[in-house]
Amino acid sequence: MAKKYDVIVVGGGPAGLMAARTAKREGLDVLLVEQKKEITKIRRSCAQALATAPGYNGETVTVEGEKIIFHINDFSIKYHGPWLDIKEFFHISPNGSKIIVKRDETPVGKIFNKEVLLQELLSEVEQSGCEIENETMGIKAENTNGEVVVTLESKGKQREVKSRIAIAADGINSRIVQSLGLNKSRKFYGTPRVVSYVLEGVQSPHPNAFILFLGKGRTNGLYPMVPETPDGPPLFQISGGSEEAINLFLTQSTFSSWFKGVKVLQKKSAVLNFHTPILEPVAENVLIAGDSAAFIEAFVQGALVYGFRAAKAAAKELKEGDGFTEYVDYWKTSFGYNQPGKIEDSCRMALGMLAMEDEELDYLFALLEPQTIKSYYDEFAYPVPIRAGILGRIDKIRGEKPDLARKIEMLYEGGMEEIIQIGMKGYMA
Amino acid sequence: MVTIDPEKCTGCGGCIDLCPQIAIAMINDVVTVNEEKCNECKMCIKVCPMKAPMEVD
Repeated sequence: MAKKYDVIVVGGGPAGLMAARTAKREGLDVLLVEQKKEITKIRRSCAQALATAPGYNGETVTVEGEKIIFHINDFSIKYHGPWLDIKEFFHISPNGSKIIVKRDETPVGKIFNKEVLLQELLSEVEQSGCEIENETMGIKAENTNGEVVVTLESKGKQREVKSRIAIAADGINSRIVQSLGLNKSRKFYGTPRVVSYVLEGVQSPHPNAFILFLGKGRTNGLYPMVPETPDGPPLFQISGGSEEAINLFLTQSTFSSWFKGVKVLQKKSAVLNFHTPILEPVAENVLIAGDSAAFIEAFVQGALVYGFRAAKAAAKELKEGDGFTEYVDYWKTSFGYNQPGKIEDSCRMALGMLAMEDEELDYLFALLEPQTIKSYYDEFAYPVPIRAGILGRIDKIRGEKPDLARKIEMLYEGGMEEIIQIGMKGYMA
Repeated sequence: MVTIDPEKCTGCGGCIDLCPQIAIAMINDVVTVNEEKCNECKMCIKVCPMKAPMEVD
């Protein structure tokens, strides 16, 4: 227990790597711990998408040459890997009717290779002289005597390390957050699971689209399909609540012809405790950054921003004091799901569609067609005109399909717990 | 005791995060259950998306 660091960063994902890089650039003495041996290898489901909507989660991100630029927080990261532009984002009902989100020629989002992005960041962290321990988990953090004691476990052995400040960047199921008692004030909605297959040989009429297939088929379904950046033939990552659900979709849905003869190159998965965000992501001298404080997730770009901000806050706190107020205020105002009503808006939209029968979806989509919404991929923006379109036709729906009208009214006015339970039924552990 | 079927495990780390005993860890990037810490609560079996954990004697 001899050494005391300025900052310990728990977790070597995008938030942790960014926090470590930033803290080192501020001249601090930093230890980064990460449970994986190969830090940058991605084995969990992840869309690897950049949301390019200006102001998304309080930041505007652009790609310029081999740099990704974060304009509002004024930093950039190097990225020399491939990009794939998403030209359109569709919701597709079982009979193929679409709600289209696009912006003429501007991409609605961009797909990148996360391993390449993390490798660049990791090399910078290594070169900065940061101490890095891989195969090491942070299992607990305790604030005592104005410092933080972090309990680490590596290869079956536990030990304690001291630091002036700690940054918890250990993801959506953070043990550091749990150990600090920060989950007590969060609402808990269950433990959804997701399985993803990376597919080769998909015959998609829309190769540059992000697609949300809706419809129950034989099981509750929401099947996001996202292109992956290839170095060879086009690949797609498709996700569902279980292997059974995905396999049924691939072989028996109305789109099964797209998937004849596909090869599953890789399987990924994820399981998470689904909570409301931590509104004040600080516990004395521990800052919570990225997914560890979020509802669902902060996206890769969010993780980079909040890791950056946490390290800046730590540096300010150590040099001048009062570094944390700004961090908390920024988190509260920038993260979309912290804004009043946004969790409900997003859930009603996505989960409402999950609760509908196939023929109800087909009917609703036909009513809304031709529906092209001019937006980026931005889950806070595009549901607004869709909801307006549905509610604007509620009288007609009530006349033609009264059960559906009642369902829509419940989904837009009902309680969150009910909506989540109905919508995420096929996903919950 | 529970072991993880390496053919089914994707390495997503969910069971590692959610094990109440902190009995699961990545050893050489292989998800591994520590026999001494595992108390067969079966949380990993419940949460795994790939049905990889299995009870063994």
